[in-house]
Amino acid sequence: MIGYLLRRLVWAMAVLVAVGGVTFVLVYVLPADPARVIAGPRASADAVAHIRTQLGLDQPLVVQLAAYVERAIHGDFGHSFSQNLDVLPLILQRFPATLQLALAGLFVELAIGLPLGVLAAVRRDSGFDRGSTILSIVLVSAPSFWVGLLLIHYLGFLPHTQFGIDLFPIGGYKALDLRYLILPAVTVGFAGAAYYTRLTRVTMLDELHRDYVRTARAIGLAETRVLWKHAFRNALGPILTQIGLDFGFFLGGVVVVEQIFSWPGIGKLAVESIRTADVPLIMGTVLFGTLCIVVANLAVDIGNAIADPRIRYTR
Amino acid sequence: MARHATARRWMAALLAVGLLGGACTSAATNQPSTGPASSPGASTATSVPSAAVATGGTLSIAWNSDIQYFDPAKGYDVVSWPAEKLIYEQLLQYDSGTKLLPLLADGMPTVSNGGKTYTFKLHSGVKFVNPDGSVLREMNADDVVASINRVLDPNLKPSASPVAGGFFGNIVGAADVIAGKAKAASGLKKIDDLTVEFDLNQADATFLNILATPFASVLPKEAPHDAAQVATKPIGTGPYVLKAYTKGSQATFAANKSYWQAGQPFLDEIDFKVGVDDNAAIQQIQAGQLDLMGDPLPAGSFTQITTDPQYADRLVTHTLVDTDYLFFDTQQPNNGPLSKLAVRQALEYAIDKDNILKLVHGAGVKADCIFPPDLPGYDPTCHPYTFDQAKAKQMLADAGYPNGFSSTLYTDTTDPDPQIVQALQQDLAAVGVKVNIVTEEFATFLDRIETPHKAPMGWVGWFQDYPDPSDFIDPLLSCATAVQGGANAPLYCNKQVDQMAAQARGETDPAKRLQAYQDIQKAIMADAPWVPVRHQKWFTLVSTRVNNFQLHPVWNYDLRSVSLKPGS
Amino acid sequence: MTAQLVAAGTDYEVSDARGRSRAWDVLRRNPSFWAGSAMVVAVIVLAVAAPVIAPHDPDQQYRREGLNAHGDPIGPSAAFPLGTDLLGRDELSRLLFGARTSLTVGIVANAIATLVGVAVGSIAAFAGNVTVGLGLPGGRRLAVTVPLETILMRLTDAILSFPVLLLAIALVAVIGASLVLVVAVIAGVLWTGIARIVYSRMVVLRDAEFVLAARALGVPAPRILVRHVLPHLTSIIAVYATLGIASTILFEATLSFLGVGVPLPTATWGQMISQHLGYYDTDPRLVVLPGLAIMITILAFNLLGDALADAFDPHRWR
Repeated sequence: MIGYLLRRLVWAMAVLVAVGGVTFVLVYVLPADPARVIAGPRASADAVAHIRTQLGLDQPLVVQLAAYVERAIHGDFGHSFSQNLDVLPLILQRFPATLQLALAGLFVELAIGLPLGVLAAVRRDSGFDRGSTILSIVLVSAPSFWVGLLLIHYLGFLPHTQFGIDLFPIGGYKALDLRYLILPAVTVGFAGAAYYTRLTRVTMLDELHRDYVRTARAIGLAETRVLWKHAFRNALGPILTQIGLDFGFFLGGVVVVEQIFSWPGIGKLAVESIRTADVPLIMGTVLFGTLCIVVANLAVDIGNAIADPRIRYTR
Repeated sequence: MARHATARRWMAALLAVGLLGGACTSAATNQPSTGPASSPGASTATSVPSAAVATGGTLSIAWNSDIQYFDPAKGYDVVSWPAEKLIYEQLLQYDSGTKLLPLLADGMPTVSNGGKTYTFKLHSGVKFVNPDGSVLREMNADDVVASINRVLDPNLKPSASPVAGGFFGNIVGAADVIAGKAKAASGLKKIDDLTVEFDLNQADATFLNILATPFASVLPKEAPHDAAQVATKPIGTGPYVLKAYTKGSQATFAANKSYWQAGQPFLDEIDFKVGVDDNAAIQQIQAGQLDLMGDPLPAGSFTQITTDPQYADRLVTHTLVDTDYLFFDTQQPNNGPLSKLAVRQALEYAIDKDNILKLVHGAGVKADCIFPPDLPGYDPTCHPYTFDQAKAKQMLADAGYPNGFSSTLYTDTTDPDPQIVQALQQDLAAVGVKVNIVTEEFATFLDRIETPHKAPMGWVGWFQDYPDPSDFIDPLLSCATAVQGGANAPLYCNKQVDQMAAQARGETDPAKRLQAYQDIQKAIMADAPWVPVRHQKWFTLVSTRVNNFQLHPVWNYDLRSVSLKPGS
Repeated sequence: MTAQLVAAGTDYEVSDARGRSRAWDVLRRNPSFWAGSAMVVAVIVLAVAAPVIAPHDPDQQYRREGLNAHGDPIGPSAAFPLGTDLLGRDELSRLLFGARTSLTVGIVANAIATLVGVAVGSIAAFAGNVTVGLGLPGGRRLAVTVPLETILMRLTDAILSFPVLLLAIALVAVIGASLVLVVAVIAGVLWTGIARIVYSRMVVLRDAEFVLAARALGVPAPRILVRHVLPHLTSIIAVYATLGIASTILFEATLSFLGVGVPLPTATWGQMISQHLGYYDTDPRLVVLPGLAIMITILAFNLLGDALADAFDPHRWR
């Protein structure tokens, strides 16, 4: 078990290093010259050369990579020239917004997906079941950026124009102001809600056909108790696994939704960094996104290993 | 300042939309008849427009992108400059038009030594004020000298000022400071507490314009040479202080109660709300939740707002000192078609500029030559080519391309540039020239067009840094800049034109000087390195409360003069 | 949904002729299958026939008749059945040609991803550890054991940990937008899913009796793989290839929406939305229509793939 965990940890590190390496090579060949971008449109060739030397951009790729790794180990991820801040504090500063959106999106997914899935399983083959299946296929087929835009257009202005209250501001962010969170969270969560409906339905169906459920019913336990205390609890395994993976993915930045709603999170920061050829920030945001995914994977693996001792530890 | 995507939407951040300008020195007073479109309360020139009165209250303005720097040595973008103009002041400023006036200087400078020495008397009793409103001390000549030396410092953090050499390199000894060989430029001299002298290497009529840019702001001499530290506690002499700032969200500027000019500032507070999408901003202005927006009207609601009579008196518009153009690689390798004068001249006839103006909803003035209307040297009679596709086709055939040729047209990804290049593509196809379109992020695109021969054709714009025709010719169309890293994207190099430009720069008679630049413009257009297409026009909507807001020809947004209508 | 329950009781790992006809029975009775198939066929027909049925050249700008006096797009009319876009081009023609772009990317990227995924998954499952003999100087040989199975499947996991969208945007910034790049990026990510599924099924099959028997008879491993094992997985592969087309079209639309997809002026639905964002307030048609086109196309492939999955792979939600 310990060996298994160690192997997983080493593997997670390896993935991080691989992604970092790939990204570094990518930004190295980026056609925009970072020194030129930093120096500004009016700078002389000498000034650009000075900055290039200062930042070590005239060194070979391997030397630059080694320098980056060394600084990164000491917690220095460089200075974002487009935002004029150090990369690490900048990412940490943007993180709460993304965390909020990730939590809210996950909440939307589960608040809709879990009850619908359980209901569909319990009333399988009913009209409700069929309806929810069709609805979930339709919802996973809608592009989230488009749904976000529709929400903005048809909900964003409605309360405002009809009742004079700004119930769903159409973009932007205020810390702890839930009104700004509603539409982005729904946009993040609607497709996932459909997915969880189906996942929950199938896992619940599996559980409901197991012997212990039959036994529990036979000894006369109340149906709700059987359903939630026993079947649902056992069905949670695969659902929790998925939640873990989703959460990690969201934390790395919800790129499209953050764009549409001008949500100042990691995803928007990452896109801005690419647009402005802000090399240190590209590296930082991509690494951060990968870290979130890798840590989530690791957490899920460890969770599963603890929960289910039968798991194969060989790989 | 420079290169810009020809407008912005998703990206705004980078573009140092250079903010406009006007007459070249106090001697030049031409204001062409096609000047700024009128806006309420236009006034001329005392040190601050006089129509405004102190009314107090809070004004809010929304911006798409954030303030990048509170350090005037570094800030070079559309949001940083208006913010800096509130906190800091310079020796000189412009009136509501393009005429230079003293600000921190007590009167215009005396010029001696054949135009190479400028001596300024400083205003007395000017106070540096801390962000909390307390007075630091009075400004003196040491601060002025230290501020310019600070801009020249190559070790300024996080990196050197982008204009150290470009704007201030002409000061005697500046090159040594930039090279790290000296701490202070010998040509920057304190004569006494309230007298400063600038010695230049060469006489330069544009130097006073440079002293009016935010780069020449006067900071206390003890200001740290680190933009991040300055941002935490910006200290200037301006009418407002930075009361609070949350990155990515809002900057709050409060009235400087100890301001040295009586009767100012006009407002209690100015709030910059940043990261606001232009569609959201226009909604909020219509709803009365916001007073101003720092970005132009978005394309979708443009017609709706500009044609609605209820907004007629709240619509503010102005033609920018800007030219957007299609350029050709005039030295295209392998004897390429664009290296041939006859081909380029033919293409001058191929572009339907009226259509492009229609596509941008009339947010522009048709450009046939290089200089925009508000720039000294503008020539309303300059129309060397007119749209005629049949003629273009014939000329291409005569030049040996009866079936046209293929090429690639580059631009950036910021609206409306991708739309405009698609229109250009159809125009060029109509005369037989098939172009592939490549849109790139602005930083990448900029690097491409400043690298020789990486873009046979490109679509880009240029805003002035300061109101002088040399700011269009020297950086964009001279042999010296037709190099790697130079802004001369068409690699245009005509030795004769270079010679004319050198003479024009040294010409001391303003009228002769402007005539010389008009001749240069004609000579360049005959070589057809560009197809000038439009001069951008800026449209914005203000709330009902706003008083005395006008788009400034040099600064675009100069909020010092804005107040609120009484009772609002 | 009886379908699922019937199928759930069967041994889905090794299908056989009987299993298939049962699956077909299940499929036949599933309305989603018929709806999905009909929509898929319709979209493909519209895309293929676009040059014939589109009223205009999708890239032609009708500057006089396609834009109003203010330079805004115009609404539906006889000449332009769904109106025009911001450059005065016919919206309907662009929607039809947009289908070509989406389907081209969807089908080509999926074909590549499926090939790579099946290859990697099979090799990982069947090759296991490969021992390679290396000739050393002095005539000695060194046997190196390469844990191919672990390497391949770990690589698959690693790619799934990449922030794919960001890397795609960065790649476009480096290389420049092109159809080939979009296909390559999507295929480069998508194969991992197929590889995982094929691998998980193959691991079971490689220990199945008929495989062990063939091995005992000395049939070479590649031949066992291709002739005996892969045929058992065709239906599963078909299911995931179909669902993959849906996710591919979604991904392509997202890339185009972010402005890093197929270059201008090629009609793509994602870009048609993003180009008109400024107009959705005054003319929502320009944002709603391409979005509907994306949704209907993805829905078609999802319905079909889902019906196939119900029939052939009822446990996929695990």
